[in-house]
Amino acid sequence: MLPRTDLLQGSLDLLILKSLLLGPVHGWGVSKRIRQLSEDVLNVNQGSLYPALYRLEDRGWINAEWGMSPEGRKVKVYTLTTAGREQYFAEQEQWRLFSGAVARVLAAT
Amino acid sequence: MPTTRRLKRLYRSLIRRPDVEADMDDEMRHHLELEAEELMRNGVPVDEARRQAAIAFGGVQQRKEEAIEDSTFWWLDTLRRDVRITARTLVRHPTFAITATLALALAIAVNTTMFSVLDAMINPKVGAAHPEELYSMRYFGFYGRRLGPTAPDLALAAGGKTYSDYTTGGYYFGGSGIIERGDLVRHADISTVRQNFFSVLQVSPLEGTLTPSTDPVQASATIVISDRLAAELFRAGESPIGQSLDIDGNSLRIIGVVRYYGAVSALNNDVWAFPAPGRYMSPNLIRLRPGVAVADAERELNLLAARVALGEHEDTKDARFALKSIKTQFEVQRFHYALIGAGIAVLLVACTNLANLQLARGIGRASELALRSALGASRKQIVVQLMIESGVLTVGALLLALVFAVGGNAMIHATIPPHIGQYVVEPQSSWRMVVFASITAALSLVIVGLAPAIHVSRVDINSLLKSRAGTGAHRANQRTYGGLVIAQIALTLPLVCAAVLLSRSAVRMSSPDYRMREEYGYNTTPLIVATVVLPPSPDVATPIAELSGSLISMARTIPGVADAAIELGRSFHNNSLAVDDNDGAVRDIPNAALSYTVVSPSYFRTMGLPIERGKGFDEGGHSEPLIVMDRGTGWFLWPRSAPIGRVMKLAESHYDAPWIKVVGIVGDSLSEDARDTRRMIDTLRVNNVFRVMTLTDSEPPSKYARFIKMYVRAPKDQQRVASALRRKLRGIASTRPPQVELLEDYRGIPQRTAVLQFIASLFGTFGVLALGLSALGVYGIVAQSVSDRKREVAVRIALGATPRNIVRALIREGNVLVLAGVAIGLYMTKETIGWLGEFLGEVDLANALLFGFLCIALFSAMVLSAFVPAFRATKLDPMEVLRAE
Repeated sequence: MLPRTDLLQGSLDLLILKSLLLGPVHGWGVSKRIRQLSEDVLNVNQGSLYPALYRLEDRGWINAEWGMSPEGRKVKVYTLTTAGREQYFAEQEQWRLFSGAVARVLAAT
Repeated sequence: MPTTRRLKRLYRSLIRRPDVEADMDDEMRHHLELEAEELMRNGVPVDEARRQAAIAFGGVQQRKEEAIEDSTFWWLDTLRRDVRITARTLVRHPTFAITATLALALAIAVNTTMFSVLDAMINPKVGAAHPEELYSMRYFGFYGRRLGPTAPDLALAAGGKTYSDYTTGGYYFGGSGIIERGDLVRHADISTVRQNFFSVLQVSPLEGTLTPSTDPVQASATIVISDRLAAELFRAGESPIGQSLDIDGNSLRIIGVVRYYGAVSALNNDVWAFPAPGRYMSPNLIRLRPGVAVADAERELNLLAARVALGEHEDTKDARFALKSIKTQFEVQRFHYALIGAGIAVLLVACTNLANLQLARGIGRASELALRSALGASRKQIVVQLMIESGVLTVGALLLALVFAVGGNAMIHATIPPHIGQYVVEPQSSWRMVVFASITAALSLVIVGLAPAIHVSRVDINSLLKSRAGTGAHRANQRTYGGLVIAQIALTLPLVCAAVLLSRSAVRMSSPDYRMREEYGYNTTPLIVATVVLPPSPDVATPIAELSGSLISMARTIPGVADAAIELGRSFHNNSLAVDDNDGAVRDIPNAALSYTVVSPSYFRTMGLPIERGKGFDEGGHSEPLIVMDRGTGWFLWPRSAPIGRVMKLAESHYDAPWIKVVGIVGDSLSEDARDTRRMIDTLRVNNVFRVMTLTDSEPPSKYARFIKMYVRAPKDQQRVASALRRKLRGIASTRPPQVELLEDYRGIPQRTAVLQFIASLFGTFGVLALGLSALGVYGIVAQSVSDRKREVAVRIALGATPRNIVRALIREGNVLVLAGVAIGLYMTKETIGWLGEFLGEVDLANALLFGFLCIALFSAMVLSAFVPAFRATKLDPMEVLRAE
């Protein structure tokens, strides 16, 4: 098993937005998607996922609705709003700038 | 976040809170199940999978709280919880909650009502469309021989860029008259206005029309009346339009009804009449075009004024039009400071009272606060908790206060007398009133909540706990709320003094006896005064004796008339007079006198003015003049001898005038006017000099109309007699109808009395409120002191102290505070009572006996309110108290 890494401060929002960009999904699905996409490297603290989801919903970036899962369970499904989509691209750009800068610093000889 | 979403969330977090929490619960449990299933799919046994999922997630409850604390309206949630706790606390102490809310609500309501009154004075409802365009206007300039009064009007009529129209309102042509309709005879304010007055003001009629006929003859036979007068004269459902009113003997037809606006001088009338044909009225009201600055308008008007002057070859220097917005007529007077001060004093008394109660309660709740502090509550949290309690009370008080204020406004509306406009107008309920009430409530919250909360939170919990046990900490607390009691009493005394003095003044003024003894020297009630107009007689003098005789005999024929007399005003030549002295020498007295009165012999009998010494004037024709004067004047003119039998000249000694003998002395009397004049010119020492009318008396030639006054005495039914007199005089009068009024109306006595009664009732309300609140405050502090010192009292009783000893010991503490409060209050009264000077006599302002009495009364009231809890303390059972400790 690969070593898991804790998330950098502030990056959870970006990851949630990205996972919802791929399609509506419930809370556990979000954490699973992040794990899968990062090939099990990024470890979302499952407890802190929900405060983050409610916060994003609070800001109007994601929408939550109760629905039924294929197994017939009542689930809360999150979708990305238009404002959330815009926010995702803005944060993605910032992240690129940031990670590029860090990479350049580390690459310096 | 868009507003709708925000509101939705607010609604969910406030109202649907349990649903939100249940949703979170469901979601998180679902998450745990999915996670466990995933682990199980990877081969982890069921129990282990559930354990691992739970560990990875952390506690559901904890996560829920994190999520809630993270949300936008988290603070609201905390607030809701605190408010719920507070409400529970307050419900457990209903007496405190109700008293506190009521006291604060009354105080806020008093201030809010006073604010609405002042607001209505500063921002009067004008009733006209776009009142900001309306200006009163006055022409200043030289009206030369050739420059007729119509010249400025003609210049205006040419039209201008800055103004759209102009008219004449009631500013300079206001007056009063007698209205008759059936049995009702009423004195009313009447204003003559140009025909276009209402159209320039853009006022809408409540009924009928406000545009009179274009024919001036027809227009002058019509009037517009106020809704106030209409309500008085006509029954509900009866339309005044087309009906006629008898005004000063002329029958005028009502064409419209308009609302009465007490605050606007052009519209605070009962009747608007239109000028008789040929009567010119110079314009005094102008409407500027929309958006025109007053400075621009004045510039254009001043150019017009200069052109008028130039056209007439007059000096242009002073020619100008002065404009004044009709909305800014309110002038702050000392009385308004008294009004505002009284309102603030009531509020402060209520606030200090509540602060006291909160402080006492905070100290009483020492163990609860100590527990919270021990459980880790910060000082800030304790202050917030205590503040929220005061906040809940204040919000309750604010809502109640708004209801009270609307009621107060309605009450003032129903009781406000006319003619009080310069002091108080009808209040208006507006959004400003709500804002003001809210600000007042917020300020009260700071005084009532913040100060005691900080004080209580600062106190060492240990000492608080100790104070409960009756040790030394009690004294320190006593000092703090003792200071607040002093402040309450100090604020109450001036209010009580003002209320008592004003009420006393009002009662005194409304009694006929007051006018007899203090003001005029006779009772005004049975007297009617008629002003008879003599037509102009430019070339020959008008003999007066015969006319007077016939007027008096005519009046005496009216049933119910006891007597009648004539009075004419005359001036001393050069304000001087001469007297013969004891030794026969002649002495001139310069600048001592303004005017004397020529009267018919029946004068003293008619007026009811008693002759103190000597005699009055004999009935019948007098060929030689005689004089009766008042006691003070006699004493001033002949300080060393009796005036009767001495002679004087109503001019300087060298002047060619007869020497006249003094035959009688009447009591001193100084009318308000005479007092005012005397205050201004202190050399005026000659007050009332009456000369009998002689057969040769005449009015000198004059191109103007002259007036003679007739007084008629009717012991009862004065209105009916006045009406009959008016009808009789109409036959005699030549140019204008005579004005016949009750003397009391003529001198404005009912109005003055009504104004004073109203002001007295206002301050009476303030005084009673402040007194009640202060008594409550003293009661509260002594009750608290008793409960603080239960143990001490119990020990004393156990050691054999009598109830008398206990009461005395408890009251003594309060006495010092009350005395200190009374002393400061007395000083404040001295400094502020002068604000009401115009409603009180000079004697009242320095009435040491009355102030002393009021101090004792206040002191007694306070001691009495301290006595109740002190007496209750004597009933304590020592065994029970000590066992409870």
